[in-house]
Amino acid sequence: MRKDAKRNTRLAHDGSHPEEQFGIVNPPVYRASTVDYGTVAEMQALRENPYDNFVYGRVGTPTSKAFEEAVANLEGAERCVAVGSGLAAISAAMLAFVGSGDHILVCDNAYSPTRNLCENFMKRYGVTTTYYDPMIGAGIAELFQDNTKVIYTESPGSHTFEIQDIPAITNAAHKAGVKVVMDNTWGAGYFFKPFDHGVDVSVQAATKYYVGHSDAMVGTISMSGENILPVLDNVRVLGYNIAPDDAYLALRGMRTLNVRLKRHEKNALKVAEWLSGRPEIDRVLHPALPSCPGHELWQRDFTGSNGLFSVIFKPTDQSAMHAFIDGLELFSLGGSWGGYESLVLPTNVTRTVTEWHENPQSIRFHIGLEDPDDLIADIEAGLKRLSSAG
Amino acid sequence: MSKDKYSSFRPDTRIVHTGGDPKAFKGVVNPPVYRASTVIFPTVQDMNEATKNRFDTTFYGVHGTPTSFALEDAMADLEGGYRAISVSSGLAAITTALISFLNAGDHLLMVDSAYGPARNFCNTTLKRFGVETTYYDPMIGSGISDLIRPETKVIFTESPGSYTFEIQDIPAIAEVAHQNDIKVMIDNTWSAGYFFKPFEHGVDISIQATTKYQAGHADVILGHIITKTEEDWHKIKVDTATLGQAVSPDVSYLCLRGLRTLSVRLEQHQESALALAHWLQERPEFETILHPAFASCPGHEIWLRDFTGSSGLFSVVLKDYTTEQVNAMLDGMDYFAMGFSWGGFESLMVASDPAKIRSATTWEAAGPLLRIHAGQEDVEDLIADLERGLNRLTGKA
Repeated sequence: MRKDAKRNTRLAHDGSHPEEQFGIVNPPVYRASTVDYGTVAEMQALRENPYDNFVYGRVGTPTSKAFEEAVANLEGAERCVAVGSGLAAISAAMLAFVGSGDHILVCDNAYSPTRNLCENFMKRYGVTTTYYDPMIGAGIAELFQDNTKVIYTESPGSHTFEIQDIPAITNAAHKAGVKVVMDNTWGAGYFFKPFDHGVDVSVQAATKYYVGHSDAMVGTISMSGENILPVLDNVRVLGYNIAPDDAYLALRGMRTLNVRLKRHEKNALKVAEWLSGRPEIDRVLHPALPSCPGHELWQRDFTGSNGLFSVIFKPTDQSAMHAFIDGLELFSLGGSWGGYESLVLPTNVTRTVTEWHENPQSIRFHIGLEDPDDLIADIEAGLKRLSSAG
Repeated sequence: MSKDKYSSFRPDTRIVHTGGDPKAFKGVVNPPVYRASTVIFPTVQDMNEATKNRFDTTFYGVHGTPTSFALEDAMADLEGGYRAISVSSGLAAITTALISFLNAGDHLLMVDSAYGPARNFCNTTLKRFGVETTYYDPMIGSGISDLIRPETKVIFTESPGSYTFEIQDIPAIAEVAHQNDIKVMIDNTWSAGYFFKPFEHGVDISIQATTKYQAGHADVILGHIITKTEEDWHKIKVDTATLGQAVSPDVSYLCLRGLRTLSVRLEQHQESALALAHWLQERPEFETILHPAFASCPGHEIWLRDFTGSSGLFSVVLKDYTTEQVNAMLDGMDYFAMGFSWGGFESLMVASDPAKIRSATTWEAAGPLLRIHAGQEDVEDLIADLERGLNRLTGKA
């Protein structure tokens, strides 16, 4: 690969090494436990550097390495390690940098399983959590304690879409020797470059846009320099790993990341703008629209948007919301996002340090690759059901 | 099944949903990968019912599983046909369809620009089994009536040819064929069933090397036969079963997975191929551009009439350069890999001399032909790669 290769060119080639694989374009699916070392001397040599050699199936195969190479290059990191889910990536990344007696700062709009990790596991092992307003910016310095080790950010929040001021937060963090971990799933490593904005460790639920077809659970952790070894060691100690089939599917998904995101972006903007003009809707939370908190930060730091956003309805009753959702033909009702298909989910908002004043009748949309006019017609029919039920 | 459920929606919506049936699979979006040989029947009566119905239910692994059925539903919907049959490669789709409609003593009309392995099948296997093949000029149109004999059973078309890109006048050929009770088959792989709707233009049986754009990731070998009528479907399905043609569930799964992004990938392949072809057209090293969207391509006006777009595959004909010069270009490419097939996410380039695979027409050109597949890379990187290659060709590098 030439050094000057652009992002879309890299997406079509990174991780593939046909010259090492009989000329075949894609890496093979290696199903491995044992690796045959040949001789004792060779075993010793390989094990001296378990992360760059193949020493045991759990620590990686050429299949997982191919996927990790593509992710690291896309995010702009020196190294990536893949694990079995987005949540596994979050937990492995955070646990790499904290121990009993430490303190972490977590954004108040975080993905609810992340909050659950802090409230249960972390608490049980003596790590205290302070939640902070996602719009806090440089003001985060006021929350630092002597034992603060990690700031966890998620930008935008995956239900409420606040864009955080990542450069201001990382600047304050690094002055105090604090690591910044970011959930970069919405930016997909494509629209937001975490390491250009000071992030130490970027995690992604690759289940979403990398896999892109709702058919695999995969998480990634990307990092550079001194942050590499603590993460790799922690993943290895915890016994986390990724199945070769899932690594293959995730890399296969990355080959179409650019074309899928382009369509998700275009379709979602069309639907979001249409919804903005509807009398049933109070507010659209889409980072590319001025009605979204942190919209100006999105304009400054991101190069695009994807298929995920939320809308807040004007007050109506619960049965009308159900009538809207249950009759949708093209939007399935389900968690996760990033696949080729459209989804809806009632938003799930848990807040402890900030107030969520908005009407709880809100829905998160994932706009798929369907024709957007079909999707708008489906939503329009739903809004008619909502009005006649309400 | 789902075919009817989505019939009111636009093509891009259907590509995302057809064949999917989450309600049948515990709500999961994608069909599972069923690895099946034996299918269990609870009672003798159930088994007897299933035997009568062996192509419409899970009966035995060789006939298909819910995984392959899902892909077949989606393929039939994409092409606008009655129903699809999966076989183990694009070539198997061609040979199986031909075998179904030909017998010893019959006559086949085969396009002279056909895919090389299809020609090889006619000249070896079909010949051995007493079927005579006549090759015809791809630009023949309704003139094909002059070649029809009483024993002609099939006219095979491929539009465009996958090296030389002649667009055939399918409606004219089909009209003549149907007056003589002859089946019209098309290798519709270039259009992916997306840019050309065969059954609206008189085709009876459409063939796709789904290895190419439907699988779309250079990691699957698979073919599909799609028919216009139930009668033709049944005839081919019976022969497929007789021959024991079966497809792997993993391959069916990967192909359906590829199909979900067909429209977004094709949009990029189309845009990039057009950009490369326009750039190449301005270069002094070439005689002509063979891309159906260009006036220099034979049948361009038919493409304008019958197709709704173009894919990522086209050719350019070089001026008189030596083999060493051409090899110097091809061997040093950064992004255009050298290899067969096409339709994957990656760019490819191969050199070819079509003169060697012609018999009804002659191919005359000063230099070799370069066939290019425009992948999903950034098109500026691809153009820079071509420019460096042309510098090697002309000795400027």
